[in-house]
Amino acid sequence: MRIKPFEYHAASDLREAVQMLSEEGADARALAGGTDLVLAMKHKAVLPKKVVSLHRITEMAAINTEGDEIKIGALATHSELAAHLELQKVVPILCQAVSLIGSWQIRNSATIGGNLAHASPAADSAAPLLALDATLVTTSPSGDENIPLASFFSGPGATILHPGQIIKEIIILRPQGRSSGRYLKLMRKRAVDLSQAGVAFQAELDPAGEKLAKVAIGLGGMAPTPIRAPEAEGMLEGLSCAEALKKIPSVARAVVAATSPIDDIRASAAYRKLVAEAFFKQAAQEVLTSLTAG
Amino acid sequence: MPKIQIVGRSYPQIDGMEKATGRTRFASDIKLAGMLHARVLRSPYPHARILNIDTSRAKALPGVKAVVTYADTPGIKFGPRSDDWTIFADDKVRFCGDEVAAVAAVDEDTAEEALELIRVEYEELPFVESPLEALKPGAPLVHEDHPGNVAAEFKVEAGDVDRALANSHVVCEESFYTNQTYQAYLEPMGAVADVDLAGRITLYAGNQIPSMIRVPYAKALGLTLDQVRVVLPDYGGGFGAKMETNTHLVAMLLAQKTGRPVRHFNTRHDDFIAGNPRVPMYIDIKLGADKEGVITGKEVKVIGDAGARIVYSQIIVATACYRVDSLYRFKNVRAKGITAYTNTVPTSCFRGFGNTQATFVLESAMDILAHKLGMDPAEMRVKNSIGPDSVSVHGWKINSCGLKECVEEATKMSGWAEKKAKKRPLKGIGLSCCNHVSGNRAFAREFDGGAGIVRIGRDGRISVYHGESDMGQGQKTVYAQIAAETLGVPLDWVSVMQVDTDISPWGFGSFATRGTLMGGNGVLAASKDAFIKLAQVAADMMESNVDDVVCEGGRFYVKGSPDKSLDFKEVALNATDSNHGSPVMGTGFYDPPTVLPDPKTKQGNISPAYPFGCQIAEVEVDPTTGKVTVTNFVAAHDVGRAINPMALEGQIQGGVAQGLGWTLMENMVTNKGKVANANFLDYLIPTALDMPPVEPKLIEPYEPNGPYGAKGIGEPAINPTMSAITNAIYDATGVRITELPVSPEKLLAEMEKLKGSHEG
Repeated sequence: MRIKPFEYHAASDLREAVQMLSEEGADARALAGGTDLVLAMKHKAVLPKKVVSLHRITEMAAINTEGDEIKIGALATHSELAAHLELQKVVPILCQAVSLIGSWQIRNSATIGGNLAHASPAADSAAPLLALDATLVTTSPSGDENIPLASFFSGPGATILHPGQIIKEIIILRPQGRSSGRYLKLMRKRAVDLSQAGVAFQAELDPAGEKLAKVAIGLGGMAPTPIRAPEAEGMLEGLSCAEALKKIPSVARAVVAATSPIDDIRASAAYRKLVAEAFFKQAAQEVLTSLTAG
Repeated sequence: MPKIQIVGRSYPQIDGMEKATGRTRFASDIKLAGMLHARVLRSPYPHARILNIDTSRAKALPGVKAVVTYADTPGIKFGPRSDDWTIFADDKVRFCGDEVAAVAAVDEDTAEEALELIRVEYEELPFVESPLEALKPGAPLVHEDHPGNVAAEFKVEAGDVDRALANSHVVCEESFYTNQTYQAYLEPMGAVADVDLAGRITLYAGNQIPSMIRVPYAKALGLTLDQVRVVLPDYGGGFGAKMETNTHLVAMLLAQKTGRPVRHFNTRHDDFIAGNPRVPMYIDIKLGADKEGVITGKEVKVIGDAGARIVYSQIIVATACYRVDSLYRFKNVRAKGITAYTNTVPTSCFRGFGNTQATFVLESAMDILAHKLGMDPAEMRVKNSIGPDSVSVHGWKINSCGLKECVEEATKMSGWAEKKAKKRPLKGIGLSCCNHVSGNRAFAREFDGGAGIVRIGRDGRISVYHGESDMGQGQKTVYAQIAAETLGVPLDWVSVMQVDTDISPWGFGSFATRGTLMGGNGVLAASKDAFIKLAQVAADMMESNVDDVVCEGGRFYVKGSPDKSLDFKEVALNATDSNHGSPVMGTGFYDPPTVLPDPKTKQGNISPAYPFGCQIAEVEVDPTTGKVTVTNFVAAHDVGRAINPMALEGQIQGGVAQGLGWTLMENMVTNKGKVANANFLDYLIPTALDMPPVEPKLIEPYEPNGPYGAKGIGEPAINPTMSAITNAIYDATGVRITELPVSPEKLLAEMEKLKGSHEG
């Protein structure tokens, strides 16, 4: 469990960071909170020649909730997000999801950008951010590029980022109508566990507050990447909450139909599906009821 | 005599502040000048012939000081209770993790790099990973000299079981399985070994049996016992696992080869795959009762998994066969135990020593019978409870016994009667009792007991020497309390010294819940001896008779005249000066009234005292996930007279946490001969958030054989936890758990089945 020798740089700004990373190509790794990377290096799962730490680029940790675009710096830690009062008001689903990651110590160190870049199919931040239609602002020596989170993941542990390209910030559009969201996570113990199934349900009412203008379902640990369940979402959009509540059982079946989980030591595929269905029902019930209550 | 002042009072552990502030130097913190670092190359196969080992490239790596394999050992077969160990694999490897070679180098990085340069040619062999498979005809043999893979057999019988069962009103016949679990101590196993020019080895190793461990180690290295000295640093827990391990011998062998101190600690991964995890057991039980709920007879068959070599598994299986028979007034019992070799990690002691497994089974069966009879499970326990001053079916002499009081207190504290009467959906309450030992005569064979040395220096400082092992459970504090109480001085005048086998008495160590009773009685005897010697000096100084002298709060006085007193330190100074520097030395021992069980009948008396307990769990089951939440827990334990109530309560809470983990999540999974979850990501232990409030209750009957009336708590704290929880799950869901752990997925499937059968 010893880490192989490597070259370490603490980049002083973003430009320097991406420059260094692109010079080494695939042999370089960006270091944020380190909770995934250092572990992978100990296990020799990755053997970078060069590690470029981003910790000195403090502006990358900023959280800006002022405009219609909520901007979350990639280096914001899970603890910072979970405790952010404005985020708790506007996108509570995100705060709730990241507060379930790892332990206090891990949340104090691990970052939202790192969680996404690590691209675990079960990443707790991914399902709610997918449900919030998040966009990633990435940067590389050739400039900034916006990537919708929905097209970011390319497989378990894989993304479409190329060497030298890193996540700079995450943009979420402020919900226009009244909205509510809920994330439920299947764990084998009450803390310090990976999600065996994560269900994010986010819904937004039209300006009149009558119909569901937007419904989004994000799923973690249920497919090779975090996914949405667009068919299930379509079954609810345009309905009133009362109508939607009645449709929950059939929508839940459509949610499960969108998944393709694996059997492993942590849970069987059948159990993941069973729980995802139950979690969806519970999350939808809670969210739609709260929107009804006004 | 002054009244008891220090014994019976709660004290934080005397080394607690040092530990809490990070000042304690644990075993793995030890650094000696010139020390080398070792790593072990372990087998990647569960069973394979070794065709060739090429260490030349590893030896050539700069910084590497030695590379060793079986060829570098004396080739002596040895073992704690068997002769099936070698320091490295000889002609074949027998489990994934078996030691094949080791490297000593200037640092750990170099040692690890060198491992990658060792080339081993293997010829893979068919393997067995389940004891049931291993016992089938034609199964691959783990050890060629053990046909049928039978490592050991054990039989015990008393009364007429067949008749008793045939004449029973109800019989429970059920098969259970208890899985493999890992002790998950904070500090992995390891040691630093140092060798002097005469070839004498000093082993600095956190282990539970510092004296006994020398015997097989000396044999393995072809040394005499006096050539192996063990020093016991503070260490990070053991729970039964930290006894003999090749991990230590690797350091010793490399120290011999290099002439330099060698440090070898398992990585956590290595500790998982080659530690000493719990013995998995298949246990079939038949338990009968009459109409009134009085137990008629019991028969059990146990098949235990030794893994690839015997550590203590055969004694653990034997324990599972009959120790629990002293919980109730059994008259007719029969048990057969088979310990089977498999190509898996060798298994050994884990808090409870087979009695945990047996208690889970018996207390589940008791619950089944109580339900069959429509009887309150608590009432059935009380009805059958063994009492004080009685003799059990195997001849074990029970002196103090607070079992009935434990049941009474636990049911009262938990609101048992009201909760049983008012059934709430998916909520349940379950009860389980337990017994245990405080010492195990069958384990300590040559003699049993404990000894102590108490030194009173010229400055009045008191040093207590013992031969047991404090792995964090609080033994040092208990010994300090006993010495301070007996000498009549404040607690902080007493130091409990590090165990060093060149200085300390021979102690059997910390297992079998024996530390407080055996070691405590040894310290008590030595303290009394020291007191008499010092009191004689005080008597001379006060011109009175030694029998009339007492000491209280560090002042000697003649009975009846506490106002004319002498400072203890002044007496100590006087004593040493008049003896030209020789300190006051008290020595003493405890010879317990135990009887080694007869090899045939197993009649004997293996412990001088027997602790008891009753635990009650409340659970809630989530019908969508099958997840069990333990919502409340009470644990009443007969500990004899409590010496340090705070430490006892901590031990009880820790035992319940460990038992809760075992019941609900802990499971070593072996897949194709490999441990599939050799890490804390997938080997789950409960977090603080998973724990309910655990309310301990101490029941304190005076135990005539205990120091100040005390018995032990270490193992009874976990024994009843599993069945308390699974009996509560039955109460909540109607699902009878016969296999540990209770995975939510399995429970949910069983609940669905029940629903189907009710609807159908």
